Amino acid sequence: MNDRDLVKRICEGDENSFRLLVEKYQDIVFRTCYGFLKNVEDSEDLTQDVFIKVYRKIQDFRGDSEFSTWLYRIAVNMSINVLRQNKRRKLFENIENVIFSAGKNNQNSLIDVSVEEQFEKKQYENAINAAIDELPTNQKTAFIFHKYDDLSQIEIANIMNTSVSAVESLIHRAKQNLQNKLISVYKGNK
Amino acid sequence: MNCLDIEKKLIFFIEGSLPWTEADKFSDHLKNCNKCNELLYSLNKSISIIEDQKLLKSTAFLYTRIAAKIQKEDETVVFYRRRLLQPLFVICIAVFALFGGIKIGSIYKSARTTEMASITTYYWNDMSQEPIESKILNGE
Repeated sequence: MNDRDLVKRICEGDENSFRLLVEKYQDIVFRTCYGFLKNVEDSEDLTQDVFIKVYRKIQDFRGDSEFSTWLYRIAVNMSINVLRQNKRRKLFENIENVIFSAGKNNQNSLIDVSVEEQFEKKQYENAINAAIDELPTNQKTAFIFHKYDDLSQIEIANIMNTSVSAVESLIHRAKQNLQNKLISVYKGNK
Repeated sequence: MNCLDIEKKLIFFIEGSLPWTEADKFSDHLKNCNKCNELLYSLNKSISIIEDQKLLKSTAFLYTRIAAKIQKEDETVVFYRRRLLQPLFVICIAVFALFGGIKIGSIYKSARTTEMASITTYYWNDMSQEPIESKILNGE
């Protein structure tokens, strides 16, 4: 059953079709939300909210674009809204994570190796998460679609309602900004 | 090619999106530069984190949670409809009825009052009831 049939059946009140839709797209939506929020629990909550909004607004889907395009737009808009609201909370959480992971160094040598690796991995993770977070919204959106969702530039252009060349430019600049930010972090750590 | 040139395009070298001639120059530089090699290692590590993050999946019970949340929201709407909107509607009807009644009553009252007043005036006006007195007073 394709997406249009599923949407039609959901509009008629078929809950099983809604279940099929959720199961089909839940990982995609989750990855997109995670690309923005960088927190598993928050991303799961937001994924639920995205599908609830889809359920409530399904009658508004006119079929001008693919259903996945419409779904991505909802996920991105809601993710950006949550980011704006939670910016301060995320800053404190990142600091907390770095502090608590640093404390694990005080153990015997066998455990230290794996803890050190974990600590190093955590540092790299924090660095990339912070660098992505600092990207301008359009660049961040294009980058997340490109890297996390493996979407083509044409698909990204449809979702973002822009041209393919604009998407190409956004991804290129996002990668450059990411690189510059990460290199400055690495140099600052030495 | 110097270290500054490497830093500008390192991410593209990692992704393999540089033209092969440029990529060769990168490889040659990296063979001899420890500083750039360290940057390459760090940047590669950070970008590989994204590949790990892509493997994350949402919970298997997502649909169950969504269905429960939708049901709870619908129940909340029904609750507010019954507990708030219905009494509010009844109060509005009562207020409307009250003011409507007062308005109608005031219209009726003014007409009735005029009639009553004229009747009262008629009966309290002795002179009109007793024309003889008025004739005597006027010297008829």
